Order: sequence, then C-alpha cells, then structure tokens
Amino acid sequence: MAATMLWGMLIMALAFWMYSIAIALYRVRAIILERERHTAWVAELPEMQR
Amino acid sequence: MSQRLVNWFKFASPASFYPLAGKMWPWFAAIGTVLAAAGLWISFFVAPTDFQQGEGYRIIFIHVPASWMSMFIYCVMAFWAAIGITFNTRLSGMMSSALAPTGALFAFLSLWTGALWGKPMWGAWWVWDARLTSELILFFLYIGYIALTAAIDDPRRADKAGAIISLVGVVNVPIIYFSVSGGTPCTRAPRCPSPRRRPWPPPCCGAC
Repeated sequence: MAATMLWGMLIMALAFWMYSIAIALYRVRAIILERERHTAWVAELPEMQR
Repeated sequence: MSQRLVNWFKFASPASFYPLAGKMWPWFAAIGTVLAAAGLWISFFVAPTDFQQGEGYRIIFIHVPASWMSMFIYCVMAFWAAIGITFNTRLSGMMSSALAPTGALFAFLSLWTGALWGKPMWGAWWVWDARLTSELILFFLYIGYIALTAAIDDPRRADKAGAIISLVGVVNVPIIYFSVSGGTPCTRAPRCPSPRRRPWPPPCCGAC
C-alpha cells in the first residue's frame, strides 16, 4: 500500500473521530436540557432566558 | 491523586458537564472539518490509482474509517453502559444515547459503501458471509438500542435497558474484527459470477 493511501485513510479516520466526538457532545447537551428541564440550574442558563 | 479523581467525578454531573461540552464541541467540529478536507484531498487527488482495482478502490477512504468508527462507537457505548450500571451515574446513559445515532450512521455508511465497492469488484452487492452479516447485526443493534430507549418513558429505566443491549451486543465487535482480519473468503467468487468481475481477490490469497 502506498504511503499516501495509508495517510489518506488515517486522516479520514481522525476526521470521523472528531466528527463523532463533536456530534456526541452537541447531542448530549440537548439530552441534558431535555431531561433536566425542571431543575433550577437549567432555568438559570442564559439560553433558557431567551 | 485523590484531588484528580474528585475533579474527574465532578464532570459526571450533567450540570458540570453541560458547559464543558458546550466549550469543547466547536473545537472538535472545526478540527474534524479541516481533517476531512485534507483527507478527501489526499484520497481523491494525491493517492495513486490502484493497479488492480483502478479508481474504484477510493471508496475505502470512506468505507474503512466508517467501519472502524461503527465498531469503536459501540465499544464506547458499552463502556458508558458499564460505568452507568456500576456507578449509577445519570450522564452515562445520556452519553450512550447521544452516541447511538452516530454509530448507526457509520454502520449504515459502512454497509452502503461496502455494497457500492462489492458490486464492481466481486460482482455482487451483498453476500451472507461473516463480515457483512456481523456488520449488519451491529447496525440492527444500534437501531434496537435507539428503538428500545425511545420506547420507555422513564429515562432511567430506558438507560438501564439500553445498557443491557450495549453490554450484550458488544460481543459482536470482536466477531466483526476477526471476520475482517481473517482474510478475504475466496469461496465468494464462484457464488457470484459476473463478466465484469475484476481479478479480486488475487489468486495468491492466503485463505484459498
């Protein structure tokens, strides 16, 4: 296998990792807001004041 | 040492993790975008044409990372499930729920790109061999996890039920891994004859 083939695949794997982490963090924030919506700390969040 | 442990456990609380996640996700998204642009550029413009498979091999730049991620994300889900069952932390179930759709996406992408590659190279979109079937089972496990957790109204009970699916289903991951690393099954070729089939796998394949 040519080195550029391997590098292309490894960089794409890293990109998929970063995407997965980013989207998981974004989604977990939404889940936290949904499940904790009745708590005081969520009510005090700036994004909930709008 | 104990101070470090206390700091880590602090983020098991949703109230502490929420702002941290808000700070981190844009960085990961930005790095992922840059890496994807670089990876696609190398994949399509820098990497040479394969001497056996021609340009069709370039689908591996999507297919292989997607397959890796589909397996890895399931292992992470099982890790969070184990943490949730052991320590009864609320965030663990939320992390598993947040990861499942991404894992399902990668499993589907792996199956789809595998079929797109398989048709010109093997002459068949799909064959019922160990690697394809075990990846399909992984996709069904993701779908089952999502359906089960969505079907239970109480989030804590849903997390516990989902954790059992995650922990039982993780057995499938080494099956996929070893079915892939075990070599290309040469028995596939006679089952799917096609005049357009290219010489793949090569005659010197170790599994023959």
